[in-house]
This record gives sequence, C-alpha cells and structure tokens, in this order.
Amino acid sequence: MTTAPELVPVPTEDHAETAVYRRPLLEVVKVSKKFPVRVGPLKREYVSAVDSLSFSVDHGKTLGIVGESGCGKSTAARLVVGLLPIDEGDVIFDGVNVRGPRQMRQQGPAEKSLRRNMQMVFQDPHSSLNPRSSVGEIISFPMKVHGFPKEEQRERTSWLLEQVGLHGNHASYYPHQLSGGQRQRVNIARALALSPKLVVCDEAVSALDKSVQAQVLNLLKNLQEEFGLTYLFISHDLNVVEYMSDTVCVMYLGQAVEICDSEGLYHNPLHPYTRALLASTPVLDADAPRIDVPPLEGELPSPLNPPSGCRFRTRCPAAMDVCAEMAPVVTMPEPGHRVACHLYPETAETTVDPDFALRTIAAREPVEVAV
Amino acid sequence: MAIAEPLAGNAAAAWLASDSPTRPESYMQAARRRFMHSRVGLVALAVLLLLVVVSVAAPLLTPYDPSIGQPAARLRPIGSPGHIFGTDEQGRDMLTRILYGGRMSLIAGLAPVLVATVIGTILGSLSGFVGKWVAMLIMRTMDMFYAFPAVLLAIAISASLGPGLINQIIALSIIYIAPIARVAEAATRRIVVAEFIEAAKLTGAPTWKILFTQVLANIFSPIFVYSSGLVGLAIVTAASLSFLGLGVRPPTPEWGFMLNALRGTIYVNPWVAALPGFFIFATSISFNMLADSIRDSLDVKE
Amino acid sequence: MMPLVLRRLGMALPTLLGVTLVIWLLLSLLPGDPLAFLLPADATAVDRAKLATELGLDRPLPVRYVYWLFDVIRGEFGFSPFRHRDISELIQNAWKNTALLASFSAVFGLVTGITLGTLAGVYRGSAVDRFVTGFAIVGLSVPSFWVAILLLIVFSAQLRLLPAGGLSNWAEGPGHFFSHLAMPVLSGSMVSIAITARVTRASIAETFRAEFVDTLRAKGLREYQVLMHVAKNAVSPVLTTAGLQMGFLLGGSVLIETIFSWPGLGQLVFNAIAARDLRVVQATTVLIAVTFVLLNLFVDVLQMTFDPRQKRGV
Repeated sequence: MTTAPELVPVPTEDHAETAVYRRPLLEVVKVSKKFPVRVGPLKREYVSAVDSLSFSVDHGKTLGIVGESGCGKSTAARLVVGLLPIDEGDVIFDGVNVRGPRQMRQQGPAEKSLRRNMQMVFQDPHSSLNPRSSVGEIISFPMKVHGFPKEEQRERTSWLLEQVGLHGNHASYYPHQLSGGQRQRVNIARALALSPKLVVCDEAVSALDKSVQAQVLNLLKNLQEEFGLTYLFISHDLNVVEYMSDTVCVMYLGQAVEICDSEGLYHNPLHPYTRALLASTPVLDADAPRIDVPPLEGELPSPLNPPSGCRFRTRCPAAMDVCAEMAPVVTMPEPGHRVACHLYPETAETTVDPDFALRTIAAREPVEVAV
Repeated sequence: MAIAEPLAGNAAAAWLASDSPTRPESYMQAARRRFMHSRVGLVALAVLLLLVVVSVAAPLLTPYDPSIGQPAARLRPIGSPGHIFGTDEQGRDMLTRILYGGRMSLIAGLAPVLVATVIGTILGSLSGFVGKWVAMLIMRTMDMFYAFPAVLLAIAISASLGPGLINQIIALSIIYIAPIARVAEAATRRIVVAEFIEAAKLTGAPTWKILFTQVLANIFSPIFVYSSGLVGLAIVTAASLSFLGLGVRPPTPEWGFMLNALRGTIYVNPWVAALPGFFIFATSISFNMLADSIRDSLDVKE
Repeated sequence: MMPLVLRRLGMALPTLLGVTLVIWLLLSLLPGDPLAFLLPADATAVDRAKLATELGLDRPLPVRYVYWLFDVIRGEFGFSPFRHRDISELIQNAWKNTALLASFSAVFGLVTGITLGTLAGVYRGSAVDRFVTGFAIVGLSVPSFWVAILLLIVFSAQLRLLPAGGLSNWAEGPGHFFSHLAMPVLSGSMVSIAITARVTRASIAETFRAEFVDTLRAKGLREYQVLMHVAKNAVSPVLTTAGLQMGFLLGGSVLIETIFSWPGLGQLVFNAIAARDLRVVQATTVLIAVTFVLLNLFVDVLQMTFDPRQKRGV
C-alpha cells in the first residue's frame, strides 16, 4: 500500500519565508473550460462552465468544492482527472504539469502512472457500476488494465472489499443486488484499487440517505487517515463539505469566489454568496453562529451569457455600481482567507500574487520531497 | 469495519451469513431462469428445434427425391396413400419438398439476421461510442437505407444481383443492417454517458477494451431482443423474395417459391397449394413468440 | 412551428438524394452488360460505341448520375424494349392503380387496427384484449401472400363469391368495384392491422397508467371523457408507425398485385424482374421509394402539428 506521505501543517503566509514546505499534491492553475452550444442551424455559442479556476490541495488533505448545481463543480472534477480536455490553464500533479490545453494526455508510462495516482468516486450509485459485471469484476478491472497478476487481483479485491466495510463474498454479487450505500462502497473500493494518491469525490454521498451518508463519509475519513489519501471533495451540501474538508472553495457560475480553511469559512464567511449559502443551510447546532442575511433570491443566471463584471451581482444584496463594471480581483483580507468581491478592495495588505490567486499556499520553487 | 447496512434482500443476507458456496445469480442466469419458466417460449423453441431436426434429417425421413416427381401421381390431395401431404403439379411428394424446403427457408431467414446483427452492432456501437463525424457518416448512411420500404429495397438489391440463395442473403442482410445499427447506436449512446464508462476511461484502458468489456455486455440485450424479433419477419421476407423468383433456383424446393408455383392449382388441389404458406407462417410465428419470451426474460422494455 | 417544419423538409432533401443514389448505384454498377439487351445479336463494336454514347454511358459516373437524376425529375425514364413502351407511360398508369389499392389498404388497416387496439387497451386483461393481442402476433407473422392465396382458395375457388383478380373502376358500379378490391385490401393490410393494434394497445395502456388519468377521475370526469383525454395523449406513437406501415404496404404490393393481377407498380416490378428489364425496376423502385419518403415526411409534419412534445426533435 502507499506509504502515508509526511503530513505538513497548512502554512500561513507569515512564515512562508522561513519554512520549507512540500509542494501541494495537486495544483490547478487558471483552468477554464467552455462548452459549445448550438443555438441555431449554424450558430454556436459557448457556455463558460469553468472560468479561470485555481486551487491547490496538500498531501493528505481534503479540499472541498461547494456551490449550487450548475456552478461547474463536476466539470472541474472532470478537468482535473482528465475526463475532459482543458481549454486553458494547467493542472500540476505532484510537481509535474500533467494536463494543459496542448497536452491533453501524457504519453506512455507517465500517463499510466498518472492514471494509477488519480481516481474518482462517482455520484450516481446506479450508473457508476456496470450492471453486467459482478462486484469482483468491477473492482479488479483497473488492476486488469494495469496488468496485475490474476492471483493478486483476486486477493486485493477481497482485501479492498473488507477495507470499505463489505464482505469478501460480495465479490460475486451484482450491483442490482446491493443497496445504495453498498454500491457507493464498491465505488470507493474501485477508486482505491490502484492505490491512488488523489481521489476525486464528485457528489459521492449526495444520492444516499442521510444515515447512510454519514457512514460513507466516516469510511472516507478513515480511509484517508489509513492510506494518507488526498481528497478533492465536491458537493452541493455545505454541511457535508464542512465535515470533510480542511479547505473549502466556494464556486459560483464557474468561478471560485472564496477559498479558506473550513473553520474560517464557516465561522466568518466574507463573500455575500457564501453568506447567503450558509444562511440557507439548516443547522441543528443551537450554538452555531447565526448569519443574518436574506436567503438567495432569483434564479441562477444563464451561463450562456453571464452578467458583466461580478457574476454574482444580479443576486447580490450588497451589489454596487462597480460590480457591473469590472470583475473583482482576488484579495486576502485575512490571513489565508481569499475572496473575490468588491467589498474587499485590494490594498497593500490584502494583495495576493494574481498568478496564484486562489491557491491555498503561495507558490514557491518546487521542493523535492522523497515520496 | 462492520457491515453497517442491511443487505439488499433476505436471501442475500442468508447466503452471506451461511458462507455457502452458491453464487448470487448474474443477469444472464436470471434471464435463463425466467425463460425456462415461460411456456410459450419453450413451446416455440421446441417447434423450431423439431423443424430444424426434420429438415436436416429429411433424407432419412422420406423415401422420395424432392426434385423428381412421378407425372402419373400429379396433384394428389392431402391424405393420399403414400403422400400424406399430397403431391405437387409435377407429381413430387409434398411432405418431402416441405422438409427439404425448410432448410432453405430457415437459412434464408436466419443467416441475414445474423450477418446484419454483427455488422449493425459494430457500426452502431462504434458511432454511438465515438460520436462526432464517425457517427454522422455512419448514421446518415443508415438513414438512407431506412428511407426505403424494406421489402422493396430487398427486391431491388436481389433483382440487381440476380436470383440465388447467396444473393438473397446479401439483399436481406443489407436491409436489416440499418435498423439494427440504429438500435445499437441508441443503446450505446445511453450507456456511454453512464459513470462506469468514465470510471473505465479513468483506468487508462484503450477505447477498444472499454467497448468490449463495458459497452458490449450492456447493449447486448436490446440488440439481441431486436434481432430475434427480426427473424420471424426475415423468414417471411425471404419467402417473399423466393415467391418472386429471387431466391434459390428450382428445382431446389423452397417454401416461398413452392407457394408461387402451386398458385395455379388452387382450383384443382386447393389445400396442398396452401401448405408451404402454412409452414412459412408456423416458422415465423414460432420465431416471433420465441422472441417475445426472450424479450420478457431479458427484461427489456419495448 | 414553421421553422421546424421547414427544417424537416430540408432534411428530406438529402434523404431523397440518398435514396435515388442508392437505387441508381444498385442498378447501374451491376456486373453485366447494360447494352446486351438493347443491341441486336450481330451488332458491331461501332454500333456498340454509338449506342453507349447515345445513352451517355461513356461519361464518368457522377456525371451519369446527375444526368439520370435530371431525367427522373423530368419524369423521363427511357424506353422499355420489352414492353415496347415509354417507361414513364407504363409507370403513370400503374402508379394510379397502386395508389388506389394502397390508400384503401392504409385506411382499412389503420381504422381496424386503431379500433381493435383501443378496445384491447381499454379492456386490458379481458377476452377482447387476449384476442387482439393474439391476432396481432398472427398478423405480424403471417405472410401476406399466403393470406392472399387462402382468400383466393376460400372466396374464389370454393365459394365462388369474389373475382380472382383484376381491377374494376367505379363506373362499373360500387359492388363490382369493391368485390375486386376486397381480397387485395384484406391481405395487404394484415400487417398494418397487426402493428397498429399492437401499438395502439400499448400506447393506450401506458397512458392510462399516467398520473393525470387519476387526476381526471378524481375531478369526477366520466370514463368516456377520460378516454378522450387518454386517446389524445396516446396518438403520437400510432402516427409514427403509420408512416412505417406505408413501407410494408408499398413493398408488399409487389406480391399482392402479382397474385391478384392488379395492374399496379408492384406487378410492373414483378414482370420487369422476370424479364430482367432493369430500367423498369429502377424507375419503379425510385418512384415507390420517393413516395415512401414523402409520406413519412407528411406523417412527421402532421405529428409536429398535433403533438407539441415533438417540437424538440426532428
């Protein structure tokens, strides 16, 4: 199994000069994706699904991406793992630029090892498992592709099943014979089959009942601890993201509007959108801080032609004239807390290097760390 | 970690607890079990098997030659001594000709569907999986064939290739490729958006491997159901071509052609003239009923 | 609405071109000598070359197709050396007769099929339903030419009630007219009845399961009023197959017309095949195929007009 990578605390800007940090496992730099949409017989328009998105995830940590449906979360996940080609920007994995607009795929052994290291847990427990394959076949398929010996495939499959809380005998079951939670466990086992470093969870628990959700979330946490996994955890559910993530990135209409560590984001949301989202989320904890802002009104604008300037301005309670004129720059009003909003104008204290605007750690020269 | 959720179904739970070696049923095993319980399907299958056996074993079952008749014994009615099914306009034993004729009719009905299924599946799944211009090219070509009344196209192709069993099979194969390709394409397009295809792509498996291991097994059922439903139709269409003189050449017996040849004798020996048609009908309806039970057992919605 | 219809019309053009191209390729690129039948046995190489030039056979293939296509559009199909007639003349007469038979068969098939299917769909699980379902399977499996022969045996040979073949016109009296039409229509529309009944039954049965039916009943509508609503929603798939059935009717006409000596396109094709008169086969198939494409076009447009759900797809 993968040795757990050395864990490093999330650094804050102040000691950036003094400490040597390990480069993040995953760095996403200004990635954009447009989809063509036919609007007439010959006319095409483009939907900007992801616009200049940047973030990074440290080894062994979890970055949560949260936003309404249609905000580009799932597209972002597919861009990272390479299921969709990137239009602009770069994805740097373990210090190596693996996906850019010109190099959709690495070639040969590099691509192969990349495939082993990046896997995904899918959303829909019904369509994510091949209904004609047994659980054993589903889990061993990645190993088969990567040429594991037969015997190892079988042993590893039943070991994986036990790791995700199933019985080794479940290998001969078919997906329709399993419950939603069990299928999701199989989904996880398949993602772990090649001992990946990064696991992208795209709405991995959204389709499950609340009680089962909690079990699967705990399983994911335990596995992370045990195998030192790094998660990119995507969900529309703020509570789930808060529970899972070290850092949270809030997306609106294809853009990141706020990035902060989980604690800071939930207790001190800066962006009006984040506040509205949090205000509309039911919280059971009586002691939890209350955010007194009106819930979101209106519909998500069409991504076909997003509002000028700040994309959120049409629904923003604090919208000003400037919001329609220009897009806000990313600033850091508090340490480690980045936001793209005109309420937080750029000053000498709050400015951030635009190239690495929304990444959790400031970029440094890559530091070689033995893995 | 303990199994936290109840298992799907008590039977499954019992099996897990008992550690019994019996495996849960796969989709195909369940389909087979359902088929074995369908009376109509089994009867149809039995009828067809009987038909195949007697037409293959025809030389053992009848003393007569199918193409040589006795002019003295022309147009005997059904039930004549020595000729249960009577004789035709040339004095040939009808039972013999029906048995031998079954060979040609079965081949002419089954072979085209088989050929068309293979080609149609390849074309359809390829265009469904790859999409883009490949799909454009393949499916627009298929649309062209779809725009014909099928029988007419078969007649036109057969007429231009000339009579004969092989040409007849080619003509019928061509007309069935387009509809099967459509079914295969639609089924593939439904499958390729499934997340398990993305999961397979994520492993870095080459396209052909994903097609074979992930896609084919999932489009098999709708295609198989559709194709099996075509056999009954193909039997009739093949007989139509033979009826028009576009099938096997005489004196080789074939039901469609026999029906045409006996058309002139309906005033003299009516029920013998109707016999070959009855066998075409019986074969066709058996295939259709078999196809219906296959559809039900594979649980495919029409 | 209109742009959609126009788009559907625009899509029919390439289809028509494709159809003509397929037929032209089929019958032009045959192995064999297209001139063999047209030349006298003692023709010299010079005669041959002359005739080839006259017919345009020395031109490159795409050019030949375009010329042929323009001839077809103008209705010029050439001369049949076997029938010693202009092909367009042969076709014109035959087309009228086929249209007569096909429209009677279509109407009869649709009306009977919809009636049977609706009965079966409304009284699901009853004896009527079982009868209709069984009949549909029989109708789908039975060769129309065998039904034709059975009808001939019973009504012509045994009962001597109906004429064995030929065509009558309205002037000779309705009894005479319909007695000639009865057996060809009945045997030709067999498949049509079966498919229509089956699709109608399925569509009605499925619509009855929809939730809006419960709402209608809860609102206190009478059962026949509910049925009207259901019928309106169930009509679309029936219409879709109606276009397809024209294919069966037109294709099947070759056999039916041959058996009943009905002087239509089908019989023309049959005789032309027997004589290897490929130009007639070509002309007739083009005509039938084009008719089929246009009929389907008509059905589609009809459907778009009636069913707002169809507006998305073409």
